[in-house]
Amino acid sequence: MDITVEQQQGRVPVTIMKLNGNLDGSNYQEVIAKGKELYTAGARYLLIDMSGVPFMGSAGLVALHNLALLMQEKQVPESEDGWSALHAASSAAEAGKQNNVKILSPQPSVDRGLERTGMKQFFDIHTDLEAAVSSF
Amino acid sequence: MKNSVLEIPADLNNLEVVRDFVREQVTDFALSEEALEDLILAVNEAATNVIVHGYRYKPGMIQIEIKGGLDDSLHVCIRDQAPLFDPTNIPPPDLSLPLEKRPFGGMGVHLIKTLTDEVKYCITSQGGNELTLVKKQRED
Repeated sequence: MDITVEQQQGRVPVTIMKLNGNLDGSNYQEVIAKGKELYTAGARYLLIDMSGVPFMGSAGLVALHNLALLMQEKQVPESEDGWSALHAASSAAEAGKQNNVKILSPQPSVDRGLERTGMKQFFDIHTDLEAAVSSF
Repeated sequence: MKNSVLEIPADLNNLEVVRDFVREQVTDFALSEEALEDLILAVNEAATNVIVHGYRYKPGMIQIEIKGGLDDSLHVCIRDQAPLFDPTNIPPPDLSLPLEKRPFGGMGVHLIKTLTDEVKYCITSQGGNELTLVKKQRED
């Protein structure tokens, strides 16, 4: 699994983690490990670019689940984020979604996997990078 | 379509080989791309479960046999010599649970059942596990 990381500034600093390659039981822990590394470095808003993932097994769902919980841990909107961040967190919670990890451009088979396991309800899914970054 | 067999060490690094095998062997069978991807995912999950929960990462072999042309259905048999276990008895996961209350994992068998038309389990004559995934041919 090839993982690249970049930062973009929206209303909050967003870490973009781009995955390239098939995501299965052989490498999902690499994704979790990278997420933990980013969390330790201060990342709290993670956009996972899955456009380069042609296949995802249930182990990939475990990685996404893990990262969503990791990024929410002790997460409190910073004062400088203002009401917009609080409102965003509130409306996301009402919809059953979390607001810390979002997914960019999953391929159809990956999208179906999210749907069939009920995981899609927890993640905002975007197809446009700029819109995704500004949605946090 | 003739029957084909893959026998491979139970190793997570071989999952890609398993998926490629299914894709290559099933090409002649009339499945839509979506149905083919579903079948590949189902076999991937079955093989993963054998490696992780059956052999528990210890050395072992997995045999995958693809049998076509049976009642317009495709049968994929996954055989192993891990301790006997019938995954068809696993109850479905509660998909209504919020993220923080969901257990990590547990989706493999759910995917296998939902992505195929039928799942059958039996004990082989050698005393091993055999899980058969049935996928029906597309109706044009």
